[in-house]
Amino acid sequence: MIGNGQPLILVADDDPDILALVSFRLERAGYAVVQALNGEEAVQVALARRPDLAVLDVMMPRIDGYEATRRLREHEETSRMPIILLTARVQEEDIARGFDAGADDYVKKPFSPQELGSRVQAVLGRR
Amino acid sequence: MTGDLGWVSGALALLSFLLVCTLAMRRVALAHAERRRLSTEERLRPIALALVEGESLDLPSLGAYESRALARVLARYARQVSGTALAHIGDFFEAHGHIAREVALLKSRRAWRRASAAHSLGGMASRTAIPALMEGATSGSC
Repeated sequence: MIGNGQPLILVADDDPDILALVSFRLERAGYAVVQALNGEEAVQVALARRPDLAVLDVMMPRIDGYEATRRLREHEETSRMPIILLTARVQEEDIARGFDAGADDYVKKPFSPQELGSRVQAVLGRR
Repeated sequence: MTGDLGWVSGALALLSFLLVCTLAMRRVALAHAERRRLSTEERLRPIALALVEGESLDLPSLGAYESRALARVLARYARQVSGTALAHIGDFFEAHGHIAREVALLKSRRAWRRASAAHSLGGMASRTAIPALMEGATSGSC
């Protein structure tokens, strides 16, 4: 949470269009958003800002979303942070790999911003 | 003979210099056009995002260049979203005449223009364009 009580969401994607679309939807839904352009930066930002939830793209440069999820789960500060993976890879094994890495949910691309907002709300509500 | 060679080499050197200057100017012009495109798209991004969300907004009057830039951003967004967001993008293109213009271009005599129109329509996410695209695909014109 940030000062005014808004939940803080980390959004990581190397595609600036997706970053803008996801961030805009979440900001409109009343969340504060921090952004990262690759997996490594996502881990750094998450450790520095301690967001309430992270939306991570799977296919990112440097380290992908699976590896970023694994690394976040290894750190005490982010081990319980909900993570939603945003992915164009929707084969059974890809989805299983995401959950194995520690993701809480996934949204497939092309994505519905409304559905993503609902999933963020649902995941945060469960915590 | 030596004098002729001197003239020829001088002319070649001058041509080379002019070619290098032309390439340099073209590079500068392309970089300028790219900067202009990026800054225009950045300026129009909040409008595009609001349109994707289906927010009612008074669209500012846009020039031809800005209208094309907004259409380009929305077409890119259309490839990333689904559901109502995608429908909002299709609605925008229909309401502003983009669909009708591109459908008309599907009948162009120039193959590259038909192909370009088909590609644009694919990005505009409009259901009303489907019959025209199907007709073009079955007749082999797209």
